[in-house]
Amino acid sequence: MITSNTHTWQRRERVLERKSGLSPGWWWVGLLVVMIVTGYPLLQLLLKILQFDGRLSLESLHVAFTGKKYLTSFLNTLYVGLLTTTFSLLIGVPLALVVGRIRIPGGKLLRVILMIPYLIPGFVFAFAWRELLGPVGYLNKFYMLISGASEPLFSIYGPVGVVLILVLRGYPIVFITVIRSLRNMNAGYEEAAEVFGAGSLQTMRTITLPLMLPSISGAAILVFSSSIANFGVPAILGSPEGFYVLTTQIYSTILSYGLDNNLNIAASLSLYLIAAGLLFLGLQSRIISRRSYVVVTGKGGRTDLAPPGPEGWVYTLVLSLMGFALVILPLVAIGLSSITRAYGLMPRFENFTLKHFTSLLTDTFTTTALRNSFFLAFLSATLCTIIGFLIAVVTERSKILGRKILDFVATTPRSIPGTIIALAFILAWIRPIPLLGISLYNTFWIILLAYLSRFLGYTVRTISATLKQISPSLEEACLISGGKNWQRIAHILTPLSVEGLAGGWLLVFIPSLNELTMSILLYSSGKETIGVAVFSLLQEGKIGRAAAFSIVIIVIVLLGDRLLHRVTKGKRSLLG
Amino acid sequence: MADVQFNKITKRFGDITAVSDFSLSIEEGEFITLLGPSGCGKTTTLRLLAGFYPPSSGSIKIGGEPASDLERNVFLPPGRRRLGMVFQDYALWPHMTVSDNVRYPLKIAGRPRTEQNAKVDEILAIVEMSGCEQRFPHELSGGQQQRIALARALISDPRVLLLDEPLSNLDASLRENMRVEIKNIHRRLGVSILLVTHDQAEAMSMSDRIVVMDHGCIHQIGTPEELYDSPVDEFVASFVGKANFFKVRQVGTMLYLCGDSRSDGAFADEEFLQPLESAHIQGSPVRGLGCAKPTDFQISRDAPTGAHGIIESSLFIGDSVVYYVRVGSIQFQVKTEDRSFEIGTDVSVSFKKVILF
Repeated sequence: MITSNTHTWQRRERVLERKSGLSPGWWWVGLLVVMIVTGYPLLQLLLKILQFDGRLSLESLHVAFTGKKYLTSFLNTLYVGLLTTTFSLLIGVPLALVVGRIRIPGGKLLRVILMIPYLIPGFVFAFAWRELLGPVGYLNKFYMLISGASEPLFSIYGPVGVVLILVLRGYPIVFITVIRSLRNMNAGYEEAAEVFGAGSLQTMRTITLPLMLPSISGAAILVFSSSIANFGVPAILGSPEGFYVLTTQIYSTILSYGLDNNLNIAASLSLYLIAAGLLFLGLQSRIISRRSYVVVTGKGGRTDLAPPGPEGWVYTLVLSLMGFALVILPLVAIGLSSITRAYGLMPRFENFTLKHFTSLLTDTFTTTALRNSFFLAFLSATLCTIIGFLIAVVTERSKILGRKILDFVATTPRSIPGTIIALAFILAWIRPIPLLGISLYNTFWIILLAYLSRFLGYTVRTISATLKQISPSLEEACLISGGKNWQRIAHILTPLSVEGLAGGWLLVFIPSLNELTMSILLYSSGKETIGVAVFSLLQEGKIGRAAAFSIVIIVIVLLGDRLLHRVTKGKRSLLG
Repeated sequence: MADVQFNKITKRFGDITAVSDFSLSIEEGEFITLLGPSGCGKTTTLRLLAGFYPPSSGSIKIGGEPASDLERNVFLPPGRRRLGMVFQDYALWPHMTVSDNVRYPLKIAGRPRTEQNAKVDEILAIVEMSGCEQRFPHELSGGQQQRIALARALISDPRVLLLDEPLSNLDASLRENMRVEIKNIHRRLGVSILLVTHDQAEAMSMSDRIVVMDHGCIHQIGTPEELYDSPVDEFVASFVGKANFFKVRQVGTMLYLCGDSRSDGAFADEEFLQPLESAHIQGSPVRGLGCAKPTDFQISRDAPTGAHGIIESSLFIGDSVVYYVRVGSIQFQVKTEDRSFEIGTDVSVSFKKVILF
């Protein structure tokens, strides 16, 4: 009798304990919604892999793993990923060590310029480089003009171009990761080495770099997984040359309506990417958990940079050249294209016009795309913020069972390539929803749901980080003052996490606004987004208008980052 | 009727027992302090009373009504226990003005605006913070924040005021001031207070009764005087005021010193100390641990009785001097107003009082 009594008590205690944490009754509704939005399509994707001709079979896998073009695209993906990672590290790590340790005249501005490629969507930047170094790009035209040659000097199309653009988007990731841990590193470690007589190069080799290793490898993994997941860059610079990677191969397989079982094969192909993604997710969390005791404690970062010597100016020169060649030139090229009357005309004053910009506002195709994207971005940012806040509250403040699952389901799609998410959404919603008879396919809402699934993780993470900063006693003070749980959320938690809410909102709004990868697979006529519109204009050869649209995107993205900088006091912005 | 009754409260977190078999009743208007080192379970006890989590067993009554009682499946949420609380970090809401912070409990309770304003004025006057209504917490000093936290805790006439190490973030002089202030408020409003602290001076100077805790258990409950004069065990004696510990043996009315408390050879090199009139001795083991406060000694150059000692060092602390006196293998800390002893002086040491455990 006594034992049974103790059991009842223990159960009651557990129940009460959970209740005394924040235990909103709606948490399981949220879990269900997130499961359906995110979990169900991914489940469908996995199921489709095991089907062929509508039967249970391993044939799709067989085709995906033996078909020659599929294998080639897999090898191409590896090639692109490895090269991109290597070169990103070779540029990013030295850059961080130089900028983080030596005072460079004009260093702040140079840093901003060198980080710009990461902010601009890949397909826009690839387009910009095409205008510079495509067969009829300005640099090639200039070369042919002065040398009289009939062949261009260098073509950006093909694997080299793809890797180049991905490296330009990859090294900022390395730079930011390394410079952050460099700033956080206890300066004592380095100073100790110097006290014992190590020179500065020796210190860097024996102390600084080994201590940075966890963050460097973390950055490498991030670069690798984001470059193999990229769609826009290989779609613009690879596909025209017949150079396919997995994302573009999956895209064209989905669009191969003539091919039997094309969706099943595409699903099987995505297994390569999912496996790589999960592998790197695992590696990353391992490295992060190891890092916790390896090094980087917050205190005592070295803030004093070495005084500017003559070598400072050498660095200024090198970095300026780099910024000019890698960032400014392609932006100038796309800028010229956007104001040149007709494609192929020489950039002379009499050929300049603003008609491409004005046409953005008059042509229904582009105005529809603008309206759609702003509407979608606004909705997805707002919904992600609200849902993300509720999920973060549950995971950070309650003791409910299953909160870890909620967090996992909400944040995993962040690491899954957009192409795969879009495919999963096609597979899940191509047929009308049973019982309801509503079809999501070919509607606006399927795009919105895909955005939600893909970007929810950003808000969950940002808001969780904010909630971690809020002392629980502030909420306890509310409870003991008579506040109920909803008042605790409305009066205390919400106003105190405004920074994280606004930051999370922008972190979703900006990428949603210029999203291409998922939209290109999910859009239907009249539901085009900005990304889809630029891509279509490019395919149709309406270069001037595509360039003007791209300039608008670039301006929005840069303004967005400034705003993010303001809102989060520099914590989330990239341009620092 | 007692205001608060803890009845055999135990609280476990996983495998760790934070509070075990804790019983206490707080009388109406009483000022009780939970005293102990960090991790002794005092804060857990306070939070159990506040209702931030349920006990694992036992029950808590507030004002005669069950508040936490697993057996009867009763668990009042914190807001329905009529408590006020001052948190260690004050927990003032940074996005609200002083006035909005203080009025919050009334606002939640849905009191009319005019009543809220009158109450806020009244309570801010009590904590001497009138005129700060529109300031924000970060514009106030630590001591001022403390007063606002106190005002917020008091505004809805709580049955019990809970203070969780409220003075630990203040500097020394401000801390003394606030002790007096809190005592004054206690006297004036007659509210019961439960204070949690690890600072024995704070506990001694403010409380009606003190509960000394360690490892989740109560060692002693008593008035400050009782704890100081008759600690029940070594832990209480060492925690409440400084004390010298040493091994002793009593033979008849004679007390022998047997080395310091850490010597494990136990009762080996006995040294004659002094005959004692029984009035001076509390406790009666034939052999055991002796305890004497620094003020419980008498040292002199020429007294015939007492043990022989040498002054090894001295610390001048203003109103008195602490001498480190060696007697055989033991070093005593002796506090006296007599400043005249030099290092190396031979002295005769005798007890004014010894407690034997």
